[in-house]
Amino acid sequence: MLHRQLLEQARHLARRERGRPRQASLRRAVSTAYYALFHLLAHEVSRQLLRGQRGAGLRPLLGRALAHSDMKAASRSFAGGTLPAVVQDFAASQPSPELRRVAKAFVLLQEQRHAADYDLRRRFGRREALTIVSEAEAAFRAWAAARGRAEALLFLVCLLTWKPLMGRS
Amino acid sequence: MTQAVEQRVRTALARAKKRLPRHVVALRHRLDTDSSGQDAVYVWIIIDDGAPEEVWAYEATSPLGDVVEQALSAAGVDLWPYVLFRAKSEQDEFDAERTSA
Repeated sequence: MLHRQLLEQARHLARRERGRPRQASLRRAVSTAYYALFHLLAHEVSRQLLRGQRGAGLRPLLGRALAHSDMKAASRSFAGGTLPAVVQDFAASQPSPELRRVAKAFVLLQEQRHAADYDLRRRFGRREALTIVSEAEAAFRAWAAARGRAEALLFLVCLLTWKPLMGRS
Repeated sequence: MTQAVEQRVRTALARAKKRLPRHVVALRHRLDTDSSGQDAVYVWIIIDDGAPEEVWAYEATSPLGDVVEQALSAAGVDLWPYVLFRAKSEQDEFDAERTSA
């Protein structure tokens, strides 16, 4: 699976140089950690929302509809534990710790990906990059625990539809 | 962001530092606008180079981040917290680069 390969590659990049790490390696590690989580969630969106053989052919199309900034906005809401009314109506309870961990990691990782890819003032250390990769790894574990719950499906729907939902609330 | 917010963050982090283990040697922070255009506080938890390897495991670092976030929240800091970790030697190197630039 692409998302698992990206996660492994992130850790590999952060440890690539035996001695002093290159900024290029650490930045790519951070960026790759974000894309690992992004592709995990994209995979889950398309798998869980388009089930069975009938939906299989359309899954790549659904994945392409995801917008990074909207996913971050949705994740901020779930991470904070307070959902807007239009979403809260469909939630049985507050997001679980596992789901909040996934959402919080997504926000952190996207922000760090932005810094890694665009902010040349920013410097990354190896320990720093590895803890960011660990955040992605923890999010994968948390998602594995949460993915079968109703709240996970709600989260996936929100990742895809946040912008129009907020426009109508 | 205002001086009042900066002061509130400093106070919160000073309180958080007291609750953190000895291998956390410093907290560094920056107030800025994040990539989404929202006000945020970036906090780096600086860990002593001599600390044992296990302090870097996610299970050990995550609670440290929670302490920092709770302190900010308790102080009424209404900024999104991005909590990161660095080794002291990494921070020293970045500080030296900035000074010599």
